[in-house]
Amino acid sequence: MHQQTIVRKKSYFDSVTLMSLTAKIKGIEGVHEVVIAMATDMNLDILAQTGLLTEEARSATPNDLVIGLSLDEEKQMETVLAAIDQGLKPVGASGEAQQVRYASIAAATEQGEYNLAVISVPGRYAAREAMQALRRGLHVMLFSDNISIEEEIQLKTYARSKGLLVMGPDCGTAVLNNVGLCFANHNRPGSIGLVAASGTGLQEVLVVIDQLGGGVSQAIGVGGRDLSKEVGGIMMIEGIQALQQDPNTETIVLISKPPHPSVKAKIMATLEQSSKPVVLCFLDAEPDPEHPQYDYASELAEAAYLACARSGIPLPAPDDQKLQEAAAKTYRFAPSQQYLRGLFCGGTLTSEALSLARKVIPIQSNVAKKEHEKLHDVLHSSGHVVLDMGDDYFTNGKPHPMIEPSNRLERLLQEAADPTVKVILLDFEIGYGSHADPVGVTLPTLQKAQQLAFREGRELAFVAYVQGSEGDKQDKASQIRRLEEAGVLVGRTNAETVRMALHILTKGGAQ
Amino acid sequence: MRFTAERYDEQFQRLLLSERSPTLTVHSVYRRLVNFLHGHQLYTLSGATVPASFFHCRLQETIDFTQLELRPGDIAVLRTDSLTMGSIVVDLQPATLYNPPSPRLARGAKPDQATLLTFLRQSGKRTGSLHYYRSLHQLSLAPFDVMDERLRFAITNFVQAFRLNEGMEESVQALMGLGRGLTPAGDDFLAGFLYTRQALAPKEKRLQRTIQKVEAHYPQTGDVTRQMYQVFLQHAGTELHRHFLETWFGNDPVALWKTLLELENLGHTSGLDFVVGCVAAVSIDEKE
Repeated sequence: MHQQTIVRKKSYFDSVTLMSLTAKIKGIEGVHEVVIAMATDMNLDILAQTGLLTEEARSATPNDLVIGLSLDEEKQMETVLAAIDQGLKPVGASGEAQQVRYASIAAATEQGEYNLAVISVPGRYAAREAMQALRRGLHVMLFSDNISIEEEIQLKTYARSKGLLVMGPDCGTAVLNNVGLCFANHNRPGSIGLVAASGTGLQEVLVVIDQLGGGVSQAIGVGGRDLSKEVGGIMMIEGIQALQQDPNTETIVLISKPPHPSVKAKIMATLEQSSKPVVLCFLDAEPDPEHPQYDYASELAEAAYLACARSGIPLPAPDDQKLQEAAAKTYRFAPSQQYLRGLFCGGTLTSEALSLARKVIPIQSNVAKKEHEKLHDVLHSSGHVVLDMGDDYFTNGKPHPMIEPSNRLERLLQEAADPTVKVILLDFEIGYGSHADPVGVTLPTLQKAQQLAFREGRELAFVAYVQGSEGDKQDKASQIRRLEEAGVLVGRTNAETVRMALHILTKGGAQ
Repeated sequence: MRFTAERYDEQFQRLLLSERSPTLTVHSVYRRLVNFLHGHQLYTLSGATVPASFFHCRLQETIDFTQLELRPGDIAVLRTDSLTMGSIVVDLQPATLYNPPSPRLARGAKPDQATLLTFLRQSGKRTGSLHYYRSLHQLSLAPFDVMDERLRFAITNFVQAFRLNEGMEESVQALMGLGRGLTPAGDDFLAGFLYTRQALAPKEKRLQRTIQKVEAHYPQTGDVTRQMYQVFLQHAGTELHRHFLETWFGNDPVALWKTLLELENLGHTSGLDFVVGCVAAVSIDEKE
């Protein structure tokens, strides 16, 4: 056994740094004991108990950092101290931790200790890379799309046999042990666990949970096809089982479009093994009378409300303040203006808008499943339309509009030039992975669109939703304020925003 | 470069009035705040987003202090209307004083334990005092280490000593400075405990004895912690700490939950350690 104790004079470090570093160092093979703390008497006492108190440490003050190490072999000391130095280094000016680059998954697993690979390469290579990661014992988040369903089944079946997760393909959002992956928002750690076959749908539930003061234990994305008959919900079921076993998860939330009946039966059978409360949000689906023990949400925000309520979080009484705002605002519409155009970045937000709007108006969309609602010419709108501009058709060879919105900006001007358009509905996603200032980059076009309408004696009603948490780096409050200053009505959830748009559209009767 | 102070606390104001143009030394520079030393006392100048604290002057602006020409060891001069650090000047004149008087709670008043239990049960944060709380309420224990376990024992012993009014010296000594970070969890716990006892039973003798023991053991802990004690032992706190006691003993679970969320974001675990201290202080009367 080799021991060493080091004192660093006048070195302050916050407890999260010291705690996570202690845990990391303790995980290194051959490290018998480690204490990294400010040199208060009590902490020195712990050093003494572990046999690491030296004369130098004894004379340290509570303003000094003390590092005590007990290793199996002396030769490890240099490596361990280097790891401690690395952990105590300040993060870069951008606030991001330092990155290590590897040429391949094989190199990464040989040189570092990892348990998850995020795959974001062109679709034709993605399945191969994912399988490599799985074979090396890594969970996989598959951001890539254009992976065949056969490949997806193969990957997920193999992962299940190894006790690993495959999140995806085309999975945009996950939160594992409080770490957000890809498009994710700042979330408070807590006790609500989610499994979702929907990217922005999952984000919507996460941010509303955050708004309501709830916290999240895990959020597992499974990819939009997981609940199809072919894939059979392999990862949804694995995800539910993982949350059942997770001691930090008290309430389980499932989010998806309606699953295939055979898959739904498997999911319900899996849920029956769980003693934890469950909230089901299968958009557009009716509550299942055979399983009255679960809470059913028909909207994303409602799923968040139910999950928080199930978790015992005191909730504010609902109000219609935003609908009143929409009712009070006046516009100078021309008689030709009749239609709603929703230009969305989020696919599930589009689906939710379609689901709510169809109750009020005849509407078409590129995400519609019903034949009469399908939008056949996605390049030209007519009538009421909600468009998912993150759809493959628009993103083929181009960045997703959540990252780079120029496609949507062009479409915004196109819709503004249409004299039949009355209300334009927009979503702005903030958080990790999204554009640094989605509102800022859109405002000049939005103003140009309004001027274009003004010149023709019309006024457009803009209604928008900023999907994000207060802790997100883009500063949600400022994104909202700038929209409101530009005359845009802003809702607090996607569903509320759609209702505001519908309210303006139909004030004086549905068209 | 010119900035404007928004508010300062009583301790900062005392320095302002204590002598003619005192000089301060820059101790440490972070993105959101700068710490200064005057004698052995630490003072903080922060941007607008930092919650009001002790020995603290807050600016109207949000600034990244690491981008300013400020280094540890630099000298700042304080005048009644300004704080000057080289070419950086802070106008103090418009700043207002804040020091909310702490609430007095009626003995026998009932706090909203159910909401608090739900919050602490679900909090994803890990701290030694929560480890104590979870074991007390027979909740599942998050992974813990030697420090958490030690803290649990120290808190348990302290609560027992306070209840029995004996063995205070050792139990206070065992808590002070125990934990990681700038204000160790043991000290945050004690601060919460003493703050709440002062609100519930300010004249009780065992409380006064405990305060004396804490003051006697100041050298056991760091500069930042000492100044935290100096404020809480005078039964003063921030708006947030006061608001917590008010909402905890109030009838508005939604407001209590919001306050708890703010406290949860105070330091890494300082706010939660403080809350567990408050809970322990109330439990003294419940068990008697």
